[in-house]
Amino acid sequence: MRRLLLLTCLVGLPAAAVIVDRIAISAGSRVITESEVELRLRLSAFESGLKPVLSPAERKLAAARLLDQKLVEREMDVGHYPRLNEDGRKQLVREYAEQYFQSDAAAMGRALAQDGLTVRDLEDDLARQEDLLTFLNLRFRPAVQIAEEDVQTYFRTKTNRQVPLNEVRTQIEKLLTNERADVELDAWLKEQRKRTKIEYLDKDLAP
Amino acid sequence: MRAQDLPNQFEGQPIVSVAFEPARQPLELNEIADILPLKKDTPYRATLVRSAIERLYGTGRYQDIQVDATASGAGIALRFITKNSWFVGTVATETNLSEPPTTGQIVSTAQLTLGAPFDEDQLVTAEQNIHKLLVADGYFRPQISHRLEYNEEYQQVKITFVVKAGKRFHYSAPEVSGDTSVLSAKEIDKATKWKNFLLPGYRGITQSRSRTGVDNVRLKYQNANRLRATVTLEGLDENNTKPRLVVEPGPLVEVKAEGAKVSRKTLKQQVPVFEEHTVDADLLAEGSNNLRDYFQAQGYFEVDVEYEQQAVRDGKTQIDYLITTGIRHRLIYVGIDGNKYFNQKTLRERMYLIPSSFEFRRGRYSEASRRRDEGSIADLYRSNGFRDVKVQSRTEDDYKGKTGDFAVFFTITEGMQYTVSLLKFEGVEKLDLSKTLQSVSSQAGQVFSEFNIASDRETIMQQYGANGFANATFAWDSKIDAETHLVELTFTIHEGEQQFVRDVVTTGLATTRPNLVTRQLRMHPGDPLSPSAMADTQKRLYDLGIFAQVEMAIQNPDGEEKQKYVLFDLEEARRYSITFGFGAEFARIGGSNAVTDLSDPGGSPGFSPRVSLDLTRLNFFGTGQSVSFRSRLSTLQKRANISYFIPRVFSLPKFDATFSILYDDTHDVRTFQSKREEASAQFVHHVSKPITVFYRFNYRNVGVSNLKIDPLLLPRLAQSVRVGVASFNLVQDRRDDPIDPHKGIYNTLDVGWATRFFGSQTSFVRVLARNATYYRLGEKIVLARETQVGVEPAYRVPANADPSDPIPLPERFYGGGGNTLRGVPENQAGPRDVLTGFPLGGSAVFFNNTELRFPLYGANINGVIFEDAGNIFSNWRAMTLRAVQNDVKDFDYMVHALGFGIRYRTPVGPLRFDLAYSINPPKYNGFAGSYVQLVQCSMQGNCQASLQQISHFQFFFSIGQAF
Repeated sequence: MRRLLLLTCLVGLPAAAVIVDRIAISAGSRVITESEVELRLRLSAFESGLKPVLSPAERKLAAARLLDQKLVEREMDVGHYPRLNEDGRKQLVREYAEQYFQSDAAAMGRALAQDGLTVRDLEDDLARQEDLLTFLNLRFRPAVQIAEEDVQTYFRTKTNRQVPLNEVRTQIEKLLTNERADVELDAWLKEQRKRTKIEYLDKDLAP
Repeated sequence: MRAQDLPNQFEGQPIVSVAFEPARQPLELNEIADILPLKKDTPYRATLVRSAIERLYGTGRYQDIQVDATASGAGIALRFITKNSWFVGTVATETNLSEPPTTGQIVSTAQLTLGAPFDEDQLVTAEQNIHKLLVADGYFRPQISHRLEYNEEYQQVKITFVVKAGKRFHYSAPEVSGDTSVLSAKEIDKATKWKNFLLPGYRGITQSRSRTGVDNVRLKYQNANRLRATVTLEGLDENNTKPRLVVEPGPLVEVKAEGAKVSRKTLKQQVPVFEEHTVDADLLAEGSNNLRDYFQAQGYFEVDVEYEQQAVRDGKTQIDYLITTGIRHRLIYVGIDGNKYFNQKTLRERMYLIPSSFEFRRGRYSEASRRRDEGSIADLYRSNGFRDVKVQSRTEDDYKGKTGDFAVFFTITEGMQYTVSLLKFEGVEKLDLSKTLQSVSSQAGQVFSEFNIASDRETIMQQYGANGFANATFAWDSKIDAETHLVELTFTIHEGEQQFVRDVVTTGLATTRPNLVTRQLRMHPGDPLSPSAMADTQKRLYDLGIFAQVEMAIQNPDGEEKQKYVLFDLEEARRYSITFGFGAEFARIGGSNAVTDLSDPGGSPGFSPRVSLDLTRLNFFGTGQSVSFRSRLSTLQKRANISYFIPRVFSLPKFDATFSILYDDTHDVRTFQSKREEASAQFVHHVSKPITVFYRFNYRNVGVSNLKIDPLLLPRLAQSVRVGVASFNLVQDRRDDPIDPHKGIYNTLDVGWATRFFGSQTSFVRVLARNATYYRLGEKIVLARETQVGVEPAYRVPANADPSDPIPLPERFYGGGGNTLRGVPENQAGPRDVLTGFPLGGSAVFFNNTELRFPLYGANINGVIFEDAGNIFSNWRAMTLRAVQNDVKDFDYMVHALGFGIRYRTPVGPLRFDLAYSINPPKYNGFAGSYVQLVQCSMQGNCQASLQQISHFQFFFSIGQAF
């Protein structure tokens, strides 16, 4: 009887409200939601071929990457940097499927679903990475100057010198340019973090 | 329980409702509907929830947003739980301190910007800044707190800082450390000027005094040739109230010029080590360049200047400027050839080089300027499409065989002019710019120049700005064909979102009626957000004259919402103001005022001190109107005036009205004393910036006494007169500076009509016109001239009026003196009484003044050479250009005067001293006797005349230009 009463009460209770999403971090006029942190985490794990680990440490790392992403997106919007169009996005997904799933789109879809992801999620992420590369190329790479001395130092210290310098010069220059551009990007991100009002509403994500 | 723990639980389920908590949101429902990608009766998507949160937060109106979902029937009910953000509103202070700092400085140092996002963390920094400011101004123990008042409707916070400053600390004898061998501690203490003057003790600490004190000590070292001296003030905070000065005199530095004579003053002006209080290679090199330019301007075009700095030895060092002047030259000729597109005049206007002239005896030349002129000419051509222009110059010494004469020749190779073949626009979608685009300078067929493009950018961006596109950007690109010299131009515009006014929020009103402010607004809800409309509103509010400050801002400027609040934070001015004034006049205005004393009809040197007191009550009953009382008291005049001023009368923005009553007791015309009681009404129409029209009606009763005239005329002229005059006055002012003009024109036309319909006892018309022009001759010389013409014909003359001039005495024209005719003393021009010789005024006037104004010494002392001509005439028929006085009863002729003046520039206008020589001053009969004797002899008809003449020399001393 008591169980019946309890069951009746439970059945009669209204359904509980479930928080589906909220702001985790605000950066200027941009926000990172809780669901976005988790999505980032899942995508990183999927692209690395790993299972997602929803630990506090992993969430913190994902949040930090997202924050950088938001700062770059804001700058790209303000500076009207070109973004990948719809055809470009679809092409990236096709290439990804070709590279990792032998062009089997259905298999890729199932693998994504297993990790709680959709094809659209993957497409968005690949497009973001491509846009970041565009930003890097347009904003930082042109200003990088590689001196001859740097090329020679690299050749001397980082290669086995079995091949003449002139044959690998272009590769070395490209590598050094990439490295320097990355350094510039990091410095820029550091500066942007200082200038932007960043608030961690989810205190667990604060550095 | 969190949805993330149950991924995709609601994914794809239909949304049955979307609600907000609290129900009252900072955005309108339709705005929210536009922003939210989630709609009722559509499937739930986690990505859309995320997007909804991002978009709502992006508006800037929210601090936090959370979304929850509840299963409801066959679908889910979504609820957005929000927390509003806040924005800075009025920032005020409540304080008991005496300035400095001012309340404005306290508010400013808090760095809380009107309309910007607010959070309470900012108050910590704000209070720290205020604390620092107060400590710097000697308030070492302040207590600072704050009070917040939230306005939920506009999401605005009023922040009031409560400052209990405590007492201001005083300086004491500074503790001096460092090397005191050059200046002793006592000398340093004296140099700071921190000690009270004459009284014991020290002055209160302020930032300004601390800075000046340190600068004074540094200056003292500089005067002792210690150019590298460092003086640092330490201490002076809550922990240490005794000032500590750390001094380091540095070596004795002598700066000398060798090879040419250069005064110490010139060295100090040209070599920046004195001003910068330090010695380094850059400053010394700059000194070389400055000295080179200095000598080149003197005609030493080949001068060479180098410096040598010796090492410090025994605490001394010397810097020698080695100057080799070369031969002194004169720039005789500047030639330009090769120019087809621009004429010589256009090119020369942009050049520094000038051949010798009255203003530049040796011409104006320097090597650097020659190069600069090449660049200026080239820039002019390039800005007109001549991209390939080349400009070269060469010099020729001993031009035409004359030693010292110098010539410069500029040769211009214009090249081809590039023109725009095609102008394309990209990105213009939301705004109709068809009219604007037709008027841009870079149209097809027009010259291609970056100057034109910059101008087009300005025009287009202004249009976008005025229509609410605050984030619009402009970029341009070109394809240049070097063979055909044609250019394809593309203007790319990113319009961004159009923004509108949500509402206009005014704060800060305490006594002013809100509708007075509302009437000045130039923007309304729904209007595009236009910065120019905001600025116009701000100007109109300032023009009311009742606000000390009108701060304007857009609330939440970085938020992505389309509708914005426009904020005006107003600080009402102090309602009462009192002004005291002191002045004096020193000219031939003296002589006894007693009616029995008939001596000095032409005036004698006199000094008239003057005081004035004005009291104004602004913003009467919060209406923006004001009441003022103005009074003036001197040995010549007693005046009191009460006026009521109504700005924007009848809500007409260009019309003001003034109603006033006046009492005036004046003896500025030596012939009589006049007492005037007057009521007047004036309407002012501000037609445009240079043009103002005054419409006036005056009704006055003027009584005269102490008349020094033929006693037989007394019955006619001694009566009180009632005059009602309606007048119209047009003023056109296109001068560059009303106080000390250098160019422009100034015209006035005054037409008045006195008639019995207005209650006037005498009917007459009065017309007075004035035209002044100012021309710049060269850089610093100004030719100024002014002509005044006036007539005052009477009609319907009463039977008892003076037949020679029926206009009542006080209503006649009077002239002469510092502002009209410097050949005669104040108000001494024109007709005179045939028995006493005192001036009677007239009903026609003509004056012409010409001045050549030039620099005399330094930046503040100018000289003036002038010629004044004209007179007051009996009537308009008597006006003549004749310069000879026919007899002692003839005053209708032109008096001429030449003179010289000095002007000393001050913040309130130039101090003026003029000395004039009158070539043909009037002769007249005076009466060498008492008034009783005059009465007796005039009845008998045997008065003995005493021949007198206005002195040839006149002097005037006052403030302001003559015209």
